[in-house]
Amino acid sequence: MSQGVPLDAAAGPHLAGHELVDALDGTLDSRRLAHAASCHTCSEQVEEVRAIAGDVRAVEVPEPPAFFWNQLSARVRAAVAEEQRPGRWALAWRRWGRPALAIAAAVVIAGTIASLTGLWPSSSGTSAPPPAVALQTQDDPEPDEDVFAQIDSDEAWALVRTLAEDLDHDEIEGEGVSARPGVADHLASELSAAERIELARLLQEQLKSQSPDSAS
Amino acid sequence: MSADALSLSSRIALQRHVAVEARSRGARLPMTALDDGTLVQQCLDGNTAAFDELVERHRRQVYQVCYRFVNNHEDASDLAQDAFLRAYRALHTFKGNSAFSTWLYRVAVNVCLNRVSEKRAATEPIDQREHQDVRGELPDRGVLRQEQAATVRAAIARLPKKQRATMILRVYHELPHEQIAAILGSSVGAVKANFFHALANLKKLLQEKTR
Repeated sequence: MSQGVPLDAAAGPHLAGHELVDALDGTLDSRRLAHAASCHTCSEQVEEVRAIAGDVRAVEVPEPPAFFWNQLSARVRAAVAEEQRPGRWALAWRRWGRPALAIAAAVVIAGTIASLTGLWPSSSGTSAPPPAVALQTQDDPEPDEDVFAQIDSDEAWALVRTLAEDLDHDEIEGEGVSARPGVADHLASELSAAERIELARLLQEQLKSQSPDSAS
Repeated sequence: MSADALSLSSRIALQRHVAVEARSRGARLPMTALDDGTLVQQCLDGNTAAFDELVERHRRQVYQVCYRFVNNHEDASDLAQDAFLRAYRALHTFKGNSAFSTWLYRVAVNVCLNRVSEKRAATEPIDQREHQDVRGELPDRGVLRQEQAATVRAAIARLPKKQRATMILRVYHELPHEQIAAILGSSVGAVKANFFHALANLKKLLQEKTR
């Protein structure tokens, strides 16, 4: 299949790729349609793409058994029941509003994570508090579900996620912070990639400073 | 005058009036009467039954798009469940700038693209395709049709990810290029280019197979 441009006996260049798609959709403009009708090469190509699209369209999805649909709903319902109610998060994020505040909250929760997992001593101890955090505070683009795909492949964030997953949530609540299962991913959806990396880096630094190796 | 005698527009106006009246008296409309946006809002307010209704409305399209990526029922149902769970988790990011179905397609396609990166799609073995209705076909023709379908599925599975997603959404789900662009986060021009290249690549792959 050519991508168009060379001239044929008929007036005008051959159809480009996007024009072949338009021809297939029936949206090609009349001038180019007239060319396609009088140009052997182009009309042949239009027929070719139409035939391939037809072959593809002919492949059906086998209809699953009727009971499957209710089964799928039930599985989703059970999985959702394991999750926290989205309303709490939505309200919380709306209340926090500005990304800077969300980041601050993220740091507080990360601090709690670190405190509970022994990355740095809790506030009741005599040690210094967690270091001040210099994170970017510019407005982030609207988070969307692509963030979750990025998070899945974000190795730096894996540390935060692992720590969060190991938490005893009742214990966190006892520290006065509301952190629920999935907290790391929810936080990540509000942070940019750079901010996730920075947060993970801070945790890693703390982890290193608390490790037996660093004490020696 | 009976309800049957009312014109369609009068009946719609009447339904709206009843809905507004019911709302003003604090009565709750059944879930099935609510649009997707309202259901999302109810879900964010903590009503999980609203999410059940969204699942029921969109489960077929989500399952089918997943099936197109993996070509087997087991993985498709796992992916569909995962897509709904991801959607539930990310529901607070749905701003209503596009239709809920577009947003949900986007979640499902991302789940599928992530999965196919990890695992090469397996085409369903021929003896597992028991749900295909080939009654009334001559045995040879049924087998031939299944073989052709398997060949096309295998060729689609070899397409680059974006071309594959474009092909699935355009041909099987008959979505307009604009909606596909919104789902894949690209331009209409890129969608058309991907579609053209997908067709060109399929032609090559199918020709290789028949040689």
